Amino acid sequence: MIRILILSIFFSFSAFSQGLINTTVSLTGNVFNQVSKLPETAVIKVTDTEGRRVGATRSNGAQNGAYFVAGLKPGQNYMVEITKKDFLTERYKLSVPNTGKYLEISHDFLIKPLKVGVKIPIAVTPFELRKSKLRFGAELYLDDWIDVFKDNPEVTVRVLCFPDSKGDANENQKITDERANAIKDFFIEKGVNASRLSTAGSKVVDPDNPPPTEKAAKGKRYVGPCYIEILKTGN
Amino acid sequence: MKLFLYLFLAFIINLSAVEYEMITIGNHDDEVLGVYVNEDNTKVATCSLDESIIIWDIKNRKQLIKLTGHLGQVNNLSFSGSDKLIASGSSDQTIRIWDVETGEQLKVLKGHTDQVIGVYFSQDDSSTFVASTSFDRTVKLWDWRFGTEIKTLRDHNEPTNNVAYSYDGQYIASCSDDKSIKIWSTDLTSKEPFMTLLGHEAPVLTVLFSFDSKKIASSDQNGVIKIWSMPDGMLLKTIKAHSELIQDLSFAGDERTIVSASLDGKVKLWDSMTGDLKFEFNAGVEIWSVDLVSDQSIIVLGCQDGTVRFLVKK
Repeated sequence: MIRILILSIFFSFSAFSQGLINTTVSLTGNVFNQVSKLPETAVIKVTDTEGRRVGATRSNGAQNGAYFVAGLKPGQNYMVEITKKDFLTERYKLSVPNTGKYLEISHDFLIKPLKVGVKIPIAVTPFELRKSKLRFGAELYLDDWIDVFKDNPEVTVRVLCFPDSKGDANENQKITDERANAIKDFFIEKGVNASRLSTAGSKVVDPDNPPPTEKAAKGKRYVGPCYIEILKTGN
Repeated sequence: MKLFLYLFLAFIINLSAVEYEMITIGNHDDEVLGVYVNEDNTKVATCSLDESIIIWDIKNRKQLIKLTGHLGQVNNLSFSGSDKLIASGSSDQTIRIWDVETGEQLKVLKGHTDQVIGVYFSQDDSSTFVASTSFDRTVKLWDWRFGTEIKTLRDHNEPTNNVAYSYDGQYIASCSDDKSIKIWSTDLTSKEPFMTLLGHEAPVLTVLFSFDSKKIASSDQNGVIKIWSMPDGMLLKTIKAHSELIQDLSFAGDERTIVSASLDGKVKLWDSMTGDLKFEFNAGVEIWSVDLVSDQSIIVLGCQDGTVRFLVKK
C-alpha cells in the first residue's frame, strides 16, 4: 500500500514537472519612441540569468512596433534588451510566473533617441506640486538613467525643468533651477561624473507641454515636466 | 393644457418624493477623484489628488484606514468581487493592489507608459484579473497575483479615460477622448474590440455596466449621459443631464436608477429606462466622484474641496 502511495506521489510529481518543462511563455507588446511616441523597429534580445541568449526578435515599426518572443520558461528570470542604432539601450528585468499553462505576457517598451538636442521626458515628474525637493520614491523614475550613463560613457546631458504654472517668473526660475539641481545631485550621488551634467531651469512653462487651460478632467493635474536633454552623444 | 399641468405636477411630486440630507463624514487633503462602495454596502473607499486612499465605515461614518504609497494623484479605484482587495490607478503610471483589512500594499503593477486613469477589478470572486486604462491609449488586463500584464488592447486613438468589467465577467468596456466606447471580450485570445459604441459628441469620461450586465451607462465632457443595451450595443437613451462635465456615474441595485454627479455641483438620480429625473440636489461644490449603496439610502460624493459627503435618505 505504501509502495503504491509512493509511486503515485512520484508519478504525480513527474507529471507536474513535465508540465512545467513543456509549458512555454511568450512575451509580446510594442516598441515606441519615448519622445515622438511613434512605433519603432528595434532588436529585442532575451537572455537568462547566466547571460545565455534565450530568444531574439525584431519589433515591426510598420505594424505599430509589435514584437513577439516565444520559448520562455515558467518560474525563470530574464533580461530583455532593446537596441537600435542611434537610440539608448533599454533593459528590462522579466520574472515569468510559475504557471502550468501557456501564458502570454504583454509589455510595451519606450526607447530613447540618442541625438544631440533631443529632450527626453522623465516619465513621472519626481517632484510634488510647487516643491523642489525630490519626492519620496523619485528613484523609481531616475534609476533607469543611471544605467544609461554607465552604458554610454561619452554621453553628456542637461537636466531641464519647467514650472507648474505661469505664475511669477522669478519664483518659477528659482524653483526650476532647484529642481534641475536636485536631479543632478541624485545622479552624482549614484556615481555619475558631474562634468557630464549641466542644468537649466525656466521662467516660462513648457511650450511643448503647457499646463491645461480648460477645467481639467481627472488625471490632468499638471506638475511642470523635467527632461534630460542630450548635449553630446559620443558617436 | 390639462395634460401638461398633470405632467408638470407629477414631475414635481415625483421629485419631492425623495429627500436626502447632506452630511460631511471626513476629508482628504485635496480633491476626491474616486469613490467606490463595496459589494455588501459596508465600506466605501475614496481616492484623491492628495495621493492617498481612505476606506470608510458606511454605518458608523468613520475612517477605517488610510493607504499611502502612490507617487502621484490616485485617479480611480475598485473593490474586488470578494471585497477583500482594492485596486487603485495613479498618475505615477502604476496600479496597486491593497489588502482592505490590513492596508498592506500587495502588488505594484507597472507597464503603462502614461498616467493610469481607470481601474476595475473583475467582480468574479475567483478571478485575479484587473483591467486598467491610461493616457497611453491602451486598455490593459493584469493578473495581479503574478504582477503581469496578460493582454494589451489597442484600438482607441486618444487617451482612454475609464474602464469597467461586466458583472457576468464576459466583457470589458473602455471609454476615451476619441468619443467612443469599446467593448472587449475578456477571452484572453481576442485582442480586437467586440463592438464600438459611437454617439457621444465629446470625450467620454466614464462607462459602467448594470449589475445584470444588460445595460451600459456612459457620461461625457458635455454633461450628457447615454444608456446602451448589451450585448447588442443599441442606444436606448440620451440624457442632457448636467451643465458641466460628468466624471462619474453609478447604477443602483434596482438596475434602473442611475446616480450622476458633475462639476456643476449637482447630484441627480435618473430613471435609465425613461430618462426621467427622480431627484436633484445641489451640493454647492464641484463633484468629481459618486457612488451609492444598492438601496439608494446613501449617496456618497467625492468633492473638489477634499470632503467626502453622504446624502442620507430621510
